[in-house]
Amino acid sequence: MKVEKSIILFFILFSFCLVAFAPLPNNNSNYNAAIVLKVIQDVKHKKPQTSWLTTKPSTQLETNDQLRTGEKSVAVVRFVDGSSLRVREKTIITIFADKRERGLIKNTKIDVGKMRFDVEKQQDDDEFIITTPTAVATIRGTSGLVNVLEDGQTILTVETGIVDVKALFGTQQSTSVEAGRTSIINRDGNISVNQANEQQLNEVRNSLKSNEKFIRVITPQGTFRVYYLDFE
Amino acid sequence: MKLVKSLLVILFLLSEINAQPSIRLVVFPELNTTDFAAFATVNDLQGAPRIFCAEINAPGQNVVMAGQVEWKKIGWNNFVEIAWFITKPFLARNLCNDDIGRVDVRIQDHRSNSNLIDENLQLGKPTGEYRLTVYLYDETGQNLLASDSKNLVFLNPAQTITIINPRSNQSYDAGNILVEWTPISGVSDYSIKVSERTDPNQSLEDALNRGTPLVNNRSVGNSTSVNLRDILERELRPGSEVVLQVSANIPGPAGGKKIFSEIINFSIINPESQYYQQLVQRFNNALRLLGDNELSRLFGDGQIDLSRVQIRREDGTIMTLEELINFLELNANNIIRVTKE
Repeated sequence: MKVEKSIILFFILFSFCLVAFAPLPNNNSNYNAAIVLKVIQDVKHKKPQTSWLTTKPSTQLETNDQLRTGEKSVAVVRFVDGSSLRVREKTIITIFADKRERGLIKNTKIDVGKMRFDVEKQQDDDEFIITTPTAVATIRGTSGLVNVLEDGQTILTVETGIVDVKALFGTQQSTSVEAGRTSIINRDGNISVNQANEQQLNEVRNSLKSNEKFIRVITPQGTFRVYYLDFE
Repeated sequence: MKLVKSLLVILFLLSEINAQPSIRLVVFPELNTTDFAAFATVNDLQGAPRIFCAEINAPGQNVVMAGQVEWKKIGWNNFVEIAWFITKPFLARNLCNDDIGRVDVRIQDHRSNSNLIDENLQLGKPTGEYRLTVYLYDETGQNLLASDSKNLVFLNPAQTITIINPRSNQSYDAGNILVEWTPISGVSDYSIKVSERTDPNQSLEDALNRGTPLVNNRSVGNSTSVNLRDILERELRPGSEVVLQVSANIPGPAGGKKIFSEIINFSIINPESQYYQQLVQRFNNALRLLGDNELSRLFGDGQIDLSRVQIRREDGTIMTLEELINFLELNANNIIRVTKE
């Protein structure tokens, strides 16, 4: 019985690895996949072999590079095709890009946190993929927000367009999520799709806020600036 | 074959039509908001803002361009020339007013009516009707090839003063009321009138003109802001409602004229009131949500007197304390840090 369980576990892990990393690049060449357009507060990036470096605007991200945002921090990343990601606070992503003969595959792996995507319409052979610990989402000319909870559960709210989602576990269910709907993909591989509620829609709208502004509070003890995020 | 011949004839005719020199005047819509001072320097166009362009179609030809600006003052029947210029010959190309006087397009001659220009400058902005005409001549400057003209009508809407701050129906601390208003042209000075409105049923106009004013048509020069505290003739009462009007004095014949703003009303915060105490509590709660920072600490320790705090947005506009608190409450998740300048 123990051996059986181990074999099952092995196959689950093996199939997970196959599915999760199937769209990722075959080569590890230093392909400039994206550029960091904006950095607010604490944003760091690293290559597979290096330690975390402070990210500055116009930092180039190559395939396999990781980017992470600290508390109350935001990074705006743009891909060569004009698609952009707004990486919200306390989020870790890994960028992959694979220039194949017939198209460009962009895959962003999000381990935890929230990320808004505004994806330009993809050419026939191009793909824009977001991979989370529990799902793979294929996006073509779509905007929305993906939220990966600490336990790996994925909450995907689509603002415009359609996103195809496939669970990585269980029966590997797949479905399409239309604009105005939210999909939850749990660790068992179950996918539920419902009408997005007001809070979820607000969260998607708010995820566009990546413009730093301030209010000045002038007191006899000095002048303070209250910085906040606003729409671009 | 017949068809081919016909097509060739049509193509030939079209090319002949295209070969006719032409000039088309393009006036930028921004001219409506352009200060006339820039427009009136047409006799020396170098350095002027781009207000018009001429699309010249005379391929490969040397041409001369002339331009004329005429003005029909409000109440006049005819246009009068303000300025005129003519260039030296240049190879035909599209050009704009700010190209004239540069390398390949030099001014041959120009004239202007300095009295009319001065009159326009005094008006401060385009007023009445203007006609811009461009003429395209051959390189001798004698034979007119084409011309185009555009009329620009400025309706000269009545000038108004808008009070930017304080805002109607808001509450302000007595010590921190900055009165700000929009400027208008041709003003010698602005005056402020402030009174207390003792009866909520009283009209704002009645309130302004009845009783002893707090500020009685006090001139503040041509500045467009003043701290109310600096011009008060008597103290503002905490909890009272106040009405305020700004007027502009414009000198001119027969004593000039006065332009008045709308009358606005606002309240003076009473630090003893429950409303104020609630604001203090809400501000304290809102600051707590922002995490540890010096502003929160100072306020928490009672070192900051809210009645002496001024709040400004990034663009310099004023926020009331209540507006700031509402903002912090609604946007707690979007506040990223608080720093001291």
